[in-house]
Amino acid sequence: MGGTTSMWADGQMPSADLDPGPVQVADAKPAEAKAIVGRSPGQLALMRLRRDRTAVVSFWVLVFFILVAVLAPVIQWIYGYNATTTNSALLDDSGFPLGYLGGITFSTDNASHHIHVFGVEPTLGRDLFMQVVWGMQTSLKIAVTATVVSTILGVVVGIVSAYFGGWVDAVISWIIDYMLAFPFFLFCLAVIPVINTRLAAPGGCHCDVSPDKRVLTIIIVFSLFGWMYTARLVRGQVLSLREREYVDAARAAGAPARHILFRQLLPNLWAPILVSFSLAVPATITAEAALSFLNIGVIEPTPDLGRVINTGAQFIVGLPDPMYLVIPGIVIFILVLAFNLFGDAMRDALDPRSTR
Amino acid sequence: MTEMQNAPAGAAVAERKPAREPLLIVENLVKHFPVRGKLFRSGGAVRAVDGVDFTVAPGESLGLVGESGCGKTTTGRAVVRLLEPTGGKIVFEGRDITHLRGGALRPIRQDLQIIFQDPYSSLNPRHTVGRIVSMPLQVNGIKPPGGMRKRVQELLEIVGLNPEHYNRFPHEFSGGQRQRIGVARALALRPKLIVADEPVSALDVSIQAQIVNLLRGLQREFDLAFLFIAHDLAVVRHFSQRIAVMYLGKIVEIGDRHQIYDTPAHPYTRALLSAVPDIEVLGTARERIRLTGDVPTPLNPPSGCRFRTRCWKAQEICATKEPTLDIIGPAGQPVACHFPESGPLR
Repeated sequence: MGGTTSMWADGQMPSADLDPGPVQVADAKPAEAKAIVGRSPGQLALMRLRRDRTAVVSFWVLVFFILVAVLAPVIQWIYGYNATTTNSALLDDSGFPLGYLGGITFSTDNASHHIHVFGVEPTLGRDLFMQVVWGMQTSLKIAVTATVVSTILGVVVGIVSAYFGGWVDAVISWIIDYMLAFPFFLFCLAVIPVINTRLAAPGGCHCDVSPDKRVLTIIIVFSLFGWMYTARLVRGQVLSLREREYVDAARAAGAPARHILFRQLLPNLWAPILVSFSLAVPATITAEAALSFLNIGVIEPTPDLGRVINTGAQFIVGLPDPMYLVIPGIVIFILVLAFNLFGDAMRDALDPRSTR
Repeated sequence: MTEMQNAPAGAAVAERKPAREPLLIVENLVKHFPVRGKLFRSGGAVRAVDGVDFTVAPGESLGLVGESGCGKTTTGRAVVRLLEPTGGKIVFEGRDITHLRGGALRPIRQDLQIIFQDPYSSLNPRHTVGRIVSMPLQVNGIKPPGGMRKRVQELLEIVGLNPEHYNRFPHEFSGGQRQRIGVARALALRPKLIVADEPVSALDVSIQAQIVNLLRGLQREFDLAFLFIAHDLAVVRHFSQRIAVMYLGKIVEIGDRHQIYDTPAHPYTRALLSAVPDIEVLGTARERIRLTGDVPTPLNPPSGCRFRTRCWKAQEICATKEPTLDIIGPAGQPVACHFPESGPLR
């Protein structure tokens, strides 16, 4: 008690008054008082993401698939067999793989003297495992590039539309509605052959389109038809964010539009942009596979999951060789599912208040 | 009396401090928001601020009070030029800033800052406190001596925050602390006038006093002028030397603290003050002025005196002739009423 009295003796009443001086944040322990570093909303989201088991699992599945796609040449080197070598000696008289389950074999005691872990392709005898590995690369390359391009396009258009408002906004919104009204696949069926021909034959010759140019065509078409969703999302976000008072504070300080857009608004747009990106990639993968399935996407000899499924579908009807369809089907299913689960988990982590 | 009638509304203060020219002069400020009509038909305009005059002297605090929707916030935002005035004139330090734009406005903005009402939406959630407070310096290309970090930490200390919290994010602070960050940001450019737009109305009552006292300390220390917007009469009384009462886009009465609180002349001011609970007379049968009806729409305000639809003294003249602030009330303050009250509030 004596100690208390002497503490008050100098007249320094610790009154509940008005300015308590430097205010300690409640959880600031003395130990970390020296270098107080706050956790940014992004870091908090990462922490939540790490605690989410679905997110962790789907993340590692994605890492695995991406590694497979990126390291396709290395895998081919280790596996020691390539995706395009045909070998009819692996097939029976009617063109179906010898052995069981589409010719899956782990022994080298066969015509190709090599293992075929996913079996071989009917009629041509190509190795399915390498087809899937390279096909993964094609699918991811197309989907990621197209989604990146369309996301950038969408962000720019959305920001411009919302920030400038007025007739700019009206025109852009109208274009967005117009573009969304297009039946995408019908449009692809009509347009892709035209673009391909243009790309292949600027001079009017009847030469074949190179596989690279076909891939480019698909990327262009997906980019042109994918930006509207992001643009709409970003437009809405900017419309709501620009009314926040911190934007007014920046304007009152004399900040130019550049600063307001890129320093004040953009950091708050990352979360929805990331979520829409991670959900757009699997959609693009499926759409690309669908195009290849319809035979207007990637064609021979470029390996592609959709094209493999297209070929496989021919052999499931008559004499059964389901594995050529089932294996790439499962792979694409896991890939898309992992992307979607991760995108969902990211949305939950970035905005914990939202409910599904 | 006659020469006072010709003087502008802020004359009383200007006379007391003859050496100091008014820092801010607002003349007949008008801000209308156009309403989108149906096709081919104009929707008219919301007359949020409809001819407002006042002055603020250096180092002085002018309180702007009135109920929600009376145009106080619009006035404040027009003064710091977040809104483009529809008409009238804003003169800051002798310079007409009513329609300045972009680069020409920037030097003025450094002297004219704003504190916002909502401490939750006024700080960017993705920026650290350091970035938030240094933003005004950065966008104006100011390099403070001793470095940005030192200046920001100084500012944090001035507003009573721990300078070590430089790297923290807004969500890690309480409402009162966030409001202090907003104050530090407004102070960064060493302004001469701060528009405080209901700076405490979103805070707990216990925190309100802290923030008001902080602002008062800053006002004395840095000779800051304030345009203090509030609907809480007790807070304004505590903070402002002079008070203007707004109703439906117009100032109805303006005067110093004692004139407004002790001898309010406008019936609306009396009604406002009468609504404030008074602990000394709590429980006793006090005669309260109860206003009936709602505030008329600013889309189509009443003719003549705008308060006449709710005023118990309204006569025919109130509907035909609009009272102006040239009328001087019994206690000497300008009051826009044909029948000003006299004497203290019961």
